[in-house]
Amino acid sequence: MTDAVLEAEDLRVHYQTRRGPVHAVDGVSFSVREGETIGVVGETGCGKSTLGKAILGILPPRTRVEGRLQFGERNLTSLPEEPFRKIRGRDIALIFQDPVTRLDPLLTIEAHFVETIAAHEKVPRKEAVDRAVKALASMGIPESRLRHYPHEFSGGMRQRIMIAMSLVMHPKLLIADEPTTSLDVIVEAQILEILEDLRRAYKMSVVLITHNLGIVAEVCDRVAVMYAGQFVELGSVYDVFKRPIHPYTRGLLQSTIHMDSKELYSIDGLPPDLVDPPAACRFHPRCPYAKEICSTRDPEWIEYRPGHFASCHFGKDFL
Amino acid sequence: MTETVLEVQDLVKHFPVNLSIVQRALLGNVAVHAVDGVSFSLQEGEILGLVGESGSGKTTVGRTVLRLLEPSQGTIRFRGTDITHLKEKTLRPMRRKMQMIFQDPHAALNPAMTIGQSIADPLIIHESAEPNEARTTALRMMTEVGLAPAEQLYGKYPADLSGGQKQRAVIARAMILNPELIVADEPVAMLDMSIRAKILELLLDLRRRYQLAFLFITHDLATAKFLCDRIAIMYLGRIVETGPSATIFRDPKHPYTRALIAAIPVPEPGRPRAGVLPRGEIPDAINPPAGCRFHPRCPSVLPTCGWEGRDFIDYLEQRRLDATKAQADETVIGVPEDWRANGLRAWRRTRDENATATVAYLRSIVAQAAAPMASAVEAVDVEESRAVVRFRSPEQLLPKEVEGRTVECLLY
Repeated sequence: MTDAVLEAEDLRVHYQTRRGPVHAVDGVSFSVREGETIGVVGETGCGKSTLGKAILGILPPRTRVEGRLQFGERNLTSLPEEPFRKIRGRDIALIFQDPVTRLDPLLTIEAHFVETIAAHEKVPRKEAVDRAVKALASMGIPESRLRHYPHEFSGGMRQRIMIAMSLVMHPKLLIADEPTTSLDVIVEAQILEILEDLRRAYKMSVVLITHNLGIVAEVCDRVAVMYAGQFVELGSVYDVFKRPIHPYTRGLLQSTIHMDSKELYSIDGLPPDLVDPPAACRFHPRCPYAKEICSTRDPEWIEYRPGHFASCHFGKDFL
Repeated sequence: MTETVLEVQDLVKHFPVNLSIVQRALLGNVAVHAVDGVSFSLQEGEILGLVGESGSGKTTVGRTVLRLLEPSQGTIRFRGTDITHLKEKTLRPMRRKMQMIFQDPHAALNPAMTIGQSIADPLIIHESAEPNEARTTALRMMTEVGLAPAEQLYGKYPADLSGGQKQRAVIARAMILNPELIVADEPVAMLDMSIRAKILELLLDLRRRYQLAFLFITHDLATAKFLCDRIAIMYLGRIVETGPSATIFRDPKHPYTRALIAAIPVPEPGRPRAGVLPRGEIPDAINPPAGCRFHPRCPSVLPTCGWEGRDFIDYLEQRRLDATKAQADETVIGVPEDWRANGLRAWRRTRDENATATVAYLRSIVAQAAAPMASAVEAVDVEESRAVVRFRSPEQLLPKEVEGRTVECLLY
């Protein structure tokens, strides 16, 4: 597709541990289209954060990355650190879960902005400050607070500052890893509203990594469901939520407790150990529909509906 | 007729803030008003949800009723006995009847003790049980909470268990002394969605079997709706709405409850968010807002809800976001930092020759403010070289019975 901002093809990330290599991301392919928000959902340890870090090139040393991550002209998986640094923060930006640990307690908010802008562009300090003022005002933070330090802000304000800083370079792609998880629901809703407005204003693409299906339904165009290092389903939010194919997606949707939940549901068993994942379909030990083939042959990644993919041997039975 | 297990009346918990001598001389004694007059009761076999955002005081209530924190004021009765000021020695035998389940099972278990030892330990401490006897009881309790095969898990360390299993171990440890009251502080918040339901089912099951009374502390309204018989919504140290959970969720009355419910993202694509979000965040509990504590953020606020001096300064801050207004304000009335608030008044120094212009300008920006705040302004004047904006006194706020629940809001 021509309008893809980022294209991942058979992306693999292996961490080395004492117990052997961990296949945190194991053969993931997808593209991020211009101006869309794509959600990546999954439970703890499914590899969703590793995927985000791979796109940003911020994995720990001695991590093996294979496959292709095409961003414009460049393949990010083989890009050396120096040129990557030029892209990171300018073309691809990120926001994390915990803004407290990402802001320097010894620098004022103004200094944070000036430093960020100076890292990518030669501009006079005054212009950098002007941009900071505009960026903060769009987040509802008045100019008078520019000279304040991070600890003088509330959690929601700090996350607004982080967002304003990430977006001050007008990136093409934003990686948001659990951006609202440490916030309360009302503040979370405020932040999501802001993100949505900015995405429209800047025509930016967003990869939203989260465990919260409610957030995905609210802000994403498409969603990928990740389990044990692999995508098990990918499609429009409507398709995945309204007519899910993979039994894991169904289980995840059913087990989410929300205001209209009628009964409690949980998926039996535990997510697998990624040092030694189950053979073939990784979900088969927990799957209520598993047959023999599920433990002997890898399921194929099949497009069941236009743009709606899943990897399940019995996918067409769930259509 | 079921019996009351816990009765809390006008509970207050203030945490003093450590200040230097100079600060104390200037500010007097400063305290965080974590809990500021909270009353509720809990019956046998009942689950009461204490729901609120971080900073609402819900965890402090949970810890104070168990006397893990010393209450500042109010009374706590457990099974009719006033335990508010009981000495630790007298209290200790009662402690076994009141247990706590914490949010983080990784932190709640001693990493150097096996799961079995952790679960059996309360028996040895409280009942001087023989090790063998304690072991047998612990194994039985482990099976009951779904830690099976118990024999095999008994000797495992917390690090060998999954998050869900650890939380089961924490529940087993709380249950082993046959408690009558359990305070569960966000017991599923750290667990993955696919295993939360199992833990909630376990809690429901234990309640059924032992007629346990639960104080369930959570920020998650959806879970509270599912689990709780009654709920109490907390905001900044106060219960703003309380009643049967079915009643409140069907038709929430307090604007804060409404905002909380509307803010929850629903996993249903294409459904637009209902209602307007309140602006800002929970303010500082050191100096909570006057009148209704939610008034500065409330979408349904009235002129009588508690407008005060600092709300005017806050309004000046808001105007700074608009460059033209910021410019105009600064030339006539200065920046927000020049202003001081004192109770119902906001003021700044002004030169007498500028007084008329200043007052006229202040009146004009008050008129531009949203109606509830604008009509709460009693006067804009010059007093002793100060330009003063003075608000009317708020109406007294009392809990009211409204359609089957209690609400603290002037709308009713």
